[in-house]
Parts: sequence; C-alpha cells; structure tokens
Amino acid sequence: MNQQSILFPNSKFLVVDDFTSMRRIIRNILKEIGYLYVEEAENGLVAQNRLQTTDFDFIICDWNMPVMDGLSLLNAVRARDETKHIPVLMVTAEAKKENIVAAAQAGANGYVVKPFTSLTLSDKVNTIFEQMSREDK
Amino acid sequence: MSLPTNSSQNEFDILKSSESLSQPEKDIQKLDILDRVGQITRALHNSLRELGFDRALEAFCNEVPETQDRLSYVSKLTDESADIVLTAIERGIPLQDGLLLQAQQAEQGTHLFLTKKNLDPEVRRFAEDTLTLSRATQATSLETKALLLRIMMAQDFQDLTGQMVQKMMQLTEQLERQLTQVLIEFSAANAELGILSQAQALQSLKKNKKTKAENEVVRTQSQVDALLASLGY
Repeated sequence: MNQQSILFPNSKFLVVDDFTSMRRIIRNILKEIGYLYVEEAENGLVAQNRLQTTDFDFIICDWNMPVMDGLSLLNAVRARDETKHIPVLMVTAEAKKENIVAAAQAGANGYVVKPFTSLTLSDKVNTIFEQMSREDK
Repeated sequence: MSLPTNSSQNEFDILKSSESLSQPEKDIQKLDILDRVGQITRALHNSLRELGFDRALEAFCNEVPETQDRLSYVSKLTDESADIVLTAIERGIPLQDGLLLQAQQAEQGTHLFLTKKNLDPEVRRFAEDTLTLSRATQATSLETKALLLRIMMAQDFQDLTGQMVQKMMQLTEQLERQLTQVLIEFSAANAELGILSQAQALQSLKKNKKTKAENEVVRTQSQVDALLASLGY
C-alpha cells in the first residue's frame, strides 16, 4: 500500500458494516493508504442519518445488515439529490451473480467480495476516484 | 418430471369433479377431505408414538436451546478475540511507524556525521555500526508492519463466520419452534386417546428445560469459583 498514489487525500469516508471488526479493518486499510477521515455506521439507517448531517465523499458498504441493508442504503443514497453523486463501493460476502447485478443496477460504483485483500480494496477505491476525476474533466 | 401417483390423480379427479357440484355438495366434500386429513394425522401420530419418535423429538427439542447457546458462545468468543487482536494491531502499527521514522532520522544523521573528515577510527567504526543498525531497523520495521497488516486482514473471519453463526441460530430457532409445535399437536392427539394432555406435554418440556439449565456447563474460572463457593468450598 502506498500513500503517494492517492488522488483525494482529504476525502471523507463512511464505512457501513454491522460487524465492528470489519469496520475497523476497512478503517485501518484506508488509514494505511492515506485516507485519515473515516466515520463508521453499523447499518444502513444509521448511515442514512449520518449522511444528512455530514458531507461524505465515499461510502463503503456491506450488503447484509440488520435494520437496513446495503442495497436499500444504496437506493436511498441514489434517490437523494444531496447524496446521489457519492461513490458507493459494496464490500460483501454476497457473491451471487444476481446480487452483483442488482448492486450495479442500483448504481454501485464497485463491488468487492469478502474475504478480500488490502490491495484489492485500495485498488478499487483508487480506481473509483480516478474514474470520478476523469468524468469531472 | 414425475408422473402423478394414484392418490394425487384421485385428488386431481376429486377437485376436477367438484367444479360441477352444488354448494351443499361442496361443503360435504370439504368435510370429507378434512376427515381424511384428520385420519392421516392420527395415523402419523400413532406411528410416531409406536416408533418412539415422540421421545426422540422431545429430546431433540430440548437440545436446540443448548445448541443456540453454544453458537452464541462461539460468536461472542470470536468477536472478543478479533477485538483483542485488532486493538493490539492498532497499537502496534503506530509503534512501528514511529520506530521507522526514528531509524530513518538516525540513518540520515549518522550518514551526515560520517562525511566529517579526520574522525577517530574507533568513532567511525561505531558510526558505521549505527548506520547498519538503523538500516536493519527500517527493514525489520517495514516487515513487521506488513505482518501486522496480514494478521489484521485475517480477522475478517469473524465477520464471515459470524454471519454463518447468525444464520444457523435463526435456522435452529425456526426448527425448534416447528418441532415444538409438532410435539404439542402430537400431545393433543394423544390427549384425545387419553394418553397425555397438552398441558402435561408443555409441563414436561418446561421440566426438561429446567433440568437442562441445571446441567449447564461452566465456562470461566470465575463461574467455577462462584459455583464452588455456592457449594461451600
């Protein structure tokens, strides 16, 4: 992992997963890449509330969660004018084709299947930022 | 595709012919069907009892809560273990970062020091050793950090196994509910035969659960100590 390769070092991340250990792993990977501003939410509903008070630049989201799952959060994010531009990376154990298709159709920017390596996650994050940067130009 | 059996063909014929029946005739037919279902259920209950499956079912039902406790215990322990490991790693990584930075600064300082002329040979040798040590420290620190990150990534098992355990707990809960219902219905049928009332069956289940609670396994030293203390040891 290399801190020099990041495009937007001041980006604010929201990590949504019902398992504390997974949120901590993702937070630590992001920290290693160079993204220091990371907030956590334990389900889609908590994330949705957090999104109303804070401007995030990137969402990393699990699929299976109690109260509100990742796909519902993705749909909610895309439905709101204030949040529809935020890139969403799904990080989930749901490796079924139909889920991947459903996430893509709902507007996910990427899909990482658990278990993953730190390199896979950092590559996906950087690729999504690069795509956004190209689209902005 | 399987061919229809005689019985399913008969049922199909009954349904088909019922389309041309009047309402009272349909009501009579419904009663007939219910009567047949009742007979089949009774036959099933009798078979269960004769084969001793009622006791097996009851014993199985009593095992399910214990299985849930064990699964919950596995989930709790793995969660705690992952938490301990992640906390240690989150403490260890900044320590390694700090060590790396110090070693880099030591290398730069020593390198600069060695550019001085007319250094005492013994001092020069000492500085060269320091330079070697600072470089080795940097390499070791980087490797240690990489190993810490690998250990951190391995903690994702807690998420994956945790999800499996949760699903298994939901399944066993569902299974327990359904089997208990079968037992209660079975007991109701037995009550009609004068064997065991539904209330007696529930009482029997509760009694067995109490016995199971008394046989609970103690898992921690403090629980062992508390138990021994309660027994006067």
